[in-house]
Formats: sequence, C-alpha cells, structure tokens
Amino acid sequence: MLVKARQLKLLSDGRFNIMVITDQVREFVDSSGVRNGQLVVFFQHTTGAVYVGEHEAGIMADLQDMLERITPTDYPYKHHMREYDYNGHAHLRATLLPTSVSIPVIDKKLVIGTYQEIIVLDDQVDQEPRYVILQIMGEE
Amino acid sequence: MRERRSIIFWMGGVITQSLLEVTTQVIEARSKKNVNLLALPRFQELCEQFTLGKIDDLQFFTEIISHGKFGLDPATIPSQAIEVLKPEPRTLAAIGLLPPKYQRWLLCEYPRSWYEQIAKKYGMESYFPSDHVIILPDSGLEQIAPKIFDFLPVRVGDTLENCLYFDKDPKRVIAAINRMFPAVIYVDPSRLEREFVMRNFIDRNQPVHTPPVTL
Repeated sequence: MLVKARQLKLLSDGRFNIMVITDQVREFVDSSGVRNGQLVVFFQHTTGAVYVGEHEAGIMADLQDMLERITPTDYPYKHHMREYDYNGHAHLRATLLPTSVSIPVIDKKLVIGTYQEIIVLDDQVDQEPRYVILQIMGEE
Repeated sequence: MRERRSIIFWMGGVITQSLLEVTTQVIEARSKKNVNLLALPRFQELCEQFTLGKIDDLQFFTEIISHGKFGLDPATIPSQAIEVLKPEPRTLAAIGLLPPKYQRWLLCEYPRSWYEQIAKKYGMESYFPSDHVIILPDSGLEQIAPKIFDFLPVRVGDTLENCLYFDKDPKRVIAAINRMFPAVIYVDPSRLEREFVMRNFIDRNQPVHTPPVTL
C-alpha cells in the first residue's frame, strides 16, 4: 500500500474567505502514484472548514447569510472573555462545518462530480496563512 | 433563463493577475524572498485606496515597501508591475466566444496609464473596445463594494437584471449578490467557458468540463 501526504499553504485574508483547491488536490492525486484508494483533505485550523460543494456565488451568499443568522459575527461570545481573541463566531461555525472530507480515488482519478469543488472556507479574523493536509492511501 | 446583455469582467484576477498577485510577484522577484502581503497592516485598505485613485502607484508601493520593510526603491516598482501584468490568453479566448449581442465590459482597477500600456501590448481592444473599459481610479467612486454595484448599471447603461459580473474575489461577488446584482465567482478559463455554456451564451456540442467518473 502506498501512503503519501502534502501540506498546502493558502494565503488568506480570512473573514469568510472562500478558496477553491480542487485543481491543487487533483494535481496531488495525479502525482501520488496511487491507482485506487482514498484521499483525505484536512483543514488544520479551528476557525474554518473544508467541504465539497458547488462554487456558485448565490450559494456562497446564502451560506454566509445562514451562518450569520446562526452565529452572528458581533454576538458577545463567552470566548471573547479571553480578551484577546474575538472570533467566537468563527469557532462555532467550525463546529457546524466539516474540517475534513474523504474522496475516493479510482483508476488514478479523483471521482468528484461535475459541479463538485473542494472548497476551503476561512472565517478567521486575521490574515495568516492557512494549512490543509492532503493524504492519500491506496494501491499502486 | 434571462438573456444577459452586459457582461462585466473585473480585470485583476480574471483577465490578468490581481493587484495582490502582481505586487507579490514584483516584490518577491526584487527582494528574492517569499512575502505574504495579506499579513501586512493596512494592505487591503491600501489596495482599495489605490483602486479608487485616492493614492497613486508610487504612494501605494511606497507604503507597501515601508510596512513590509522590504528595503526596495518604490520608484522602480510600477514599471515592473506593468511589465509583468499580462492577460491570460485562455480567458480572453473564452470571452472571445461570446456573440456580439453580449456587450463586454472591463472593470480595471489599475491606473489608466497602466491599462493603456497593457492594452496596446496585448491587443485588448479586440476584446474590450476602449469605450467599454471602466478605469476604476478615474471613476470617482468613494467605495468599491457594495457601492460599485449601484454604479455599474448606470455606467454600462443597462438594467441591473441584464448585467452579469465576473470577479475572482468571492467577497466582492457575494457583495454583488447581496445587492441582487447577478454575479459569478471566476475560477479559471475552463470554468468560465463552462459557465457560458450553462447559461447558453455560447453553443458547445461537447461539454467543456470533465464529466463525472462513472463506475
């Protein structure tokens, strides 16, 4: 069995920043040498998510609207009692959304659907790089 | 499906590199090190001021170089930025497929002098006639999003519903959608072409995207 991993560094300005990483993930799968197996995409932070969905502007606006209704940005979260970290909304949103996705790899292809994209959503309030781990395992 | 008549493209990130990309590219080439400009204080604010013509290119790069302590001479940066800015040919090719009934508009966040040099060098006139190029630093706008989405229908002379806006910046696109301005997040030329096909702007017998793998 072959196991390979790669870390993606994403430059993000946070605050509901949406990044499509499908092509970077495809390139990793292509170069991995794995014929049949599974890929895991893992977001290494507590203030964002990675998910598979359609990258369409209306959906993004609706998602932001939905999250804002459930977890408003300006709510006085208890997390803010730390008095240096005012991102309670981002932490709560991260509990509602996935931090990893697994995708089958069949015959060296990432078998996502036509309109499926691998999307990273970064809701942190600062502008630090974000990291995503790609790990693939399977037969050569 | 509604027939969109005015198709508007934000230049940086769709047609050419974005302001972030070109600034990063030039500063990295000059300083010989990787930089994360997004982490600089006031970076987004400086980009907005530059885009709205409130500061010129020299002031913009002077501030960036000062905040980042890059130790470069800002006076030489604008000409280098113009030099490396270039349109993505596959994106232009996709836009070139649009039938004449669709009015193409270019929304340029770079100064007029920059655009004129790029347009001349790469023949942009054949994709965007000069009277369909909106130079944002000359627009007199006080704010980009969401104000720009009130300004655009007036500027292009069409109803909001008949416009369609393409931009790589998801935040601006979401701001457009929240203003009920039809908009698409640009990703790359093939997805752009796919969007044109899905909207029946262009005809394609073969799908331009990769169909899902069937087992």
